[in-house]
Amino acid sequence: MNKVIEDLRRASGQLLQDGKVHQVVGWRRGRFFWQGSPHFVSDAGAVEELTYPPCAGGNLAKYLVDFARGQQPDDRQEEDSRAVALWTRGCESRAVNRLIADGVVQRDEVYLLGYTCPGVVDSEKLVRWLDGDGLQIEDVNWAEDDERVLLVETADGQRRIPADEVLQERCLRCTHPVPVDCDQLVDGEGKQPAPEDARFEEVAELEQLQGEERYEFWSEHFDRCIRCNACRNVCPACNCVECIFDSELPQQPDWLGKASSLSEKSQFHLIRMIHVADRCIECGACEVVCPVNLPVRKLMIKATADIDRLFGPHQAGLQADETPPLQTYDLQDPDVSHEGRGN
Amino acid sequence: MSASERLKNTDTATEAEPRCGQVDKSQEEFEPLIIAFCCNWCSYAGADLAGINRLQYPTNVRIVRVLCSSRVNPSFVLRAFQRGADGVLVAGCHPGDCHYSTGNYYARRRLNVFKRALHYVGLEPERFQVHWISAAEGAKFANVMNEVTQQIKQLGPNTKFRGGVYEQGN
Amino acid sequence: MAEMQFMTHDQIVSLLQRFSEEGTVYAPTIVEDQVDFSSRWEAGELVQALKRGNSTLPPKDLFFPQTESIFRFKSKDRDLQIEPADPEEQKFLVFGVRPCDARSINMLDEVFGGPDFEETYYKRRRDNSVLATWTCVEPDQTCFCASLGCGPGEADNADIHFTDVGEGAVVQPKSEKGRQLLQDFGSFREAEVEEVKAAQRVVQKAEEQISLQAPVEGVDDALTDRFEDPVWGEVSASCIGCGICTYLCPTCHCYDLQSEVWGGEGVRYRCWDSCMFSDFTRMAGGENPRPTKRERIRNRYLHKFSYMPDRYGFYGCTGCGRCLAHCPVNIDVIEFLSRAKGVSPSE
Repeated sequence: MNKVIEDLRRASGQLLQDGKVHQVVGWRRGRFFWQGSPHFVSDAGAVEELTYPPCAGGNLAKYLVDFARGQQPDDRQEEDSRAVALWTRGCESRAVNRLIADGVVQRDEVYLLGYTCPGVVDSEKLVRWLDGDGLQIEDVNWAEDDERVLLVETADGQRRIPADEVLQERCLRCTHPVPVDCDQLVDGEGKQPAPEDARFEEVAELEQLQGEERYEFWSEHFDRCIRCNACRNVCPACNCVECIFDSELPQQPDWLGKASSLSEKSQFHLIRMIHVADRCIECGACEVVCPVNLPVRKLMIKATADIDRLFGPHQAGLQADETPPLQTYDLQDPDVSHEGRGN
Repeated sequence: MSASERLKNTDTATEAEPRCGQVDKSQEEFEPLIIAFCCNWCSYAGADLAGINRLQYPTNVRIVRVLCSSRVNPSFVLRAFQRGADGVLVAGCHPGDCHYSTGNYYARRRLNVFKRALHYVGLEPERFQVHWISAAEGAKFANVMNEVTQQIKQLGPNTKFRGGVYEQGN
Repeated sequence: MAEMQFMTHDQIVSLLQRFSEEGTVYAPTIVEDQVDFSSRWEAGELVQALKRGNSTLPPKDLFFPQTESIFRFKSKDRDLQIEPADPEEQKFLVFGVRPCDARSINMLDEVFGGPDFEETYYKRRRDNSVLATWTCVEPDQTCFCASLGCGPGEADNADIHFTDVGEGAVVQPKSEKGRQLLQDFGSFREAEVEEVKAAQRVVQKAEEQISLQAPVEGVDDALTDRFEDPVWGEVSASCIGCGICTYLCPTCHCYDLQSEVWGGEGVRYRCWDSCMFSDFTRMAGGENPRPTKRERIRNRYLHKFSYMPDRYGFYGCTGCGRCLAHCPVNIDVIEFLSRAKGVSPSE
């Protein structure tokens, strides 16, 4: 991975130097080993600040929405219409397709600097992996000699850990570590794509439970929600100019109150699930950012799974000109069953 | 601390008085409240026909007229459950007969996904139903309403996704 | 010193259980691998939960709930009835509060119970509560309380303070309420000199463990006349506008008033709000004086490090490190302070 990072930096520097882009969006290390922060560089001399930390959080494509809507702090002159370069993994490229399809971003407004994603490390899994040895983790880096190995610094010296053992759940089920679209691809080994049928395993497991058990499972989780909106704000499919949950203008009824009752919290998640149902790109950023560890992705993927089962193979964000399945229909669609899962 | 925990520590929740639009549930036999979103062109007319033909169907069903089944936003359904509905149904034209040609095709897809989502989070499948009832099917309208009411009666009152600050008396 | 007592872990649990018969005890509980203050705490897991880091959510919710009714209303035939909500009278004990969070409650006291105005709902909860603090034996990597004049073993406004020394804890009542608590429910003996010394060593060791420092001193002066400054664009660039930093912050206290209407009746309630949300300052006509994340982050930091010192004489931060640990894009308050003061960020 270190070579990939070098190449990404070099390419970023070149783009800035040539004046092709006005900014590069990538990552930098956080203060602690479990952190990785989105980072913005507009000076070719500063590309060394960019890196790919093992725990590189959510989804960078969401910043394109901020750029497109004048929400991003930006020193550009008004006539400067250069693109912004985005370090692009598979999930980011699918998110960009989503944003293009939703009319938020134009393809020429963004330069996709692609690389094969090595996966994102789940810091809690990493701690658990080492906990048997009672070791405190001081730092985590990608190994020089093997792209699929992490070097973990502990008080007791260095440990080598196979990255695939400690990746986030969303990455283990990712079918597209390689960007589906990019302007330039940096070579690297990256993570192997997961088989497509692995995507819905967690959903199938939950579906096996009895109705009351499922209700208990979800209501206990929903109940812990603090309504911080992080899942919505990081989601590339949640790109409405004005979110239904924020609209308080008198001409728009407030479909959801601000209270923290179980019923409102459940509705928040259900409404969001339905709103992004056919456009969810399965990046799982919603789950990663949740401060109280709600299994948000397991909810979102349910809609994807059902759409896939009912209306044919479905993966959002693979093309920029796709029509989301719930914005179209087929005369032969299955009827709404009166059973539960039915059909 | 979770919200439900906080609510458990207060005893101000009021059970006694039925609220506006709500069927009195204190009586021996449970009388459910059922909200039916009926499309103006078929199902609502079907309800009219049922009335003209003097077909009986339970008063538990409250009809909300919408212009098309595809007008039914999932938020309507959730809000109905939140404010005390024990069952919700959406009734529209038969696929192929939509007044707007294709509205109910979209509704069929969306509501199919939505119904499964509700089931996934633990709602009984009978509590949310979708039926296609034409303007000529007065008898079917009455039958469906009878059946649904019967099913919901058997299930008992709905507690899921229900309530808010007001009802829980936080 | 004379007041130092000693209680075994079992005695602590039995004190809490005896209190539970008259009121509610909120204590650290492990829920989904996170620590949370809960009335459903488990006697058998209490010590284990206390050994974990600080709770994900601060205990402020117990005094300033995320949602609470203010009044109910009913209108019929042009007649409007209003019935104020009666906040709970029940006594409660919050056990295992870390000194940083205890200090934050001190700050909330100033906000909701200052000399000019007293907020009855908050005040009633404070009066009915006992605050039992616990020395932060194993501070997290994200803790920087020492820089904010707080510390793992200092809890001036606690009613009673516990320091774990292994098989039991040295207990120090700090207020009349704390003394009363021991008298009514405790079973204890006077702490021996060795135990008191052990407690001091625990605190000292914890203090040494806190290596993170925030260059906060004088930042309020450094921020004067910096309303238009490039620093705000720099620190806010990666913000996604969620409410994690504010909802997890023990001192953030902004709220909104909303109604829930059920036909002709309903309730007016107060609920938390976050200055990070895009609709926080949006006015009825749609105008928003803080249109982008730059202005929102600026407001949050200025509120904590400029307006609050100005108004109350202290920074609106206790160094609990929650925003540092949980921000999904790792916006780093220490880095901000360093930039604001023009010093290089310290580790």
